[in-house]
Amino acid sequence: MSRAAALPTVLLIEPQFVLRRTIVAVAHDLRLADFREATSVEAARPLLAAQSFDAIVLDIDIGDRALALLSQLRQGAFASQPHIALVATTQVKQHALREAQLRELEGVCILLKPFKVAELLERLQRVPVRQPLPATEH
Amino acid sequence: MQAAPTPINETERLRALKALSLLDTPPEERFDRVVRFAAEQFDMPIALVSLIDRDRQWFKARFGLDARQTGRDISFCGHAILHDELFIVEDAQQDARFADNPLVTGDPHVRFYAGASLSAAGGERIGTLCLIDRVPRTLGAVEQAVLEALRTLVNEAIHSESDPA
Repeated sequence: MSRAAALPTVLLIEPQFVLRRTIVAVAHDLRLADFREATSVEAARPLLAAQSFDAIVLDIDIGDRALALLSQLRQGAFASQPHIALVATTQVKQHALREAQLRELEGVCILLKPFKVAELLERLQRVPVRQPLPATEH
Repeated sequence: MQAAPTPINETERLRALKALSLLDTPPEERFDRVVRFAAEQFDMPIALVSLIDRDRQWFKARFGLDARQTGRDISFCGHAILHDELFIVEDAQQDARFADNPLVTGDPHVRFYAGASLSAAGGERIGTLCLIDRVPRTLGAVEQAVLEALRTLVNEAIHSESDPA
């Protein structure tokens, strides 16, 4: 019997209500990713401590703590592997500043706001997904 | 032109619409932010939350349109409330129901329309979240899912007194 392909597990840290809820709903309806959501860095920390994710999508315009969180993720401070996919979203006018700030962090993808939901989900389809453990044979 | 047909549950539908106390009320951010987001997300010049009253459609939220209401008989949304699924007209000029509609032949020159019906608590379809363009369009699978997700947010706003944001 074939098993459905595993979906990437993604933590979305996004304060904008309509954007956040739309991304999560579309990904769920189309079975493109399994999202958890948080509205702030503070709300995300317990989730990051408790669960391993394949990718993090974070609005880095929500404050300095967002940049600190990305750095901690790369250092392996949470349950996820240190080299998971990190997508930082930012307003166009902040792009140059954010690009400079993220230079020291390896492999952080920047997505400029406003972006299309399809564009984000398409990027997440390229995220390597941890393979589930094989089912036990009885 | 085919005027928007009257749903078989029109009496109950109008009663449910009135009970929501939304008609002729001031703009509210919980609806406005959804039409702004929809217009941006779909690159649409017009996005609306339209409520279908007895003889008119009245816009609770509007982006890209100055009018506060139009006649129900010429409304696309009057057709959309007959369906649970998305109601999409890819090119109104090529559609016999709408080709000579004054909203197509004149301002705002509708060519593309996509409407997601909105529901009262009892399931009565009381209006739509709709997208309008002045050129022919199609909606892909992800875009249709986005419109469905936004429909859910507007339905939640309709049924909630408080703003969750």
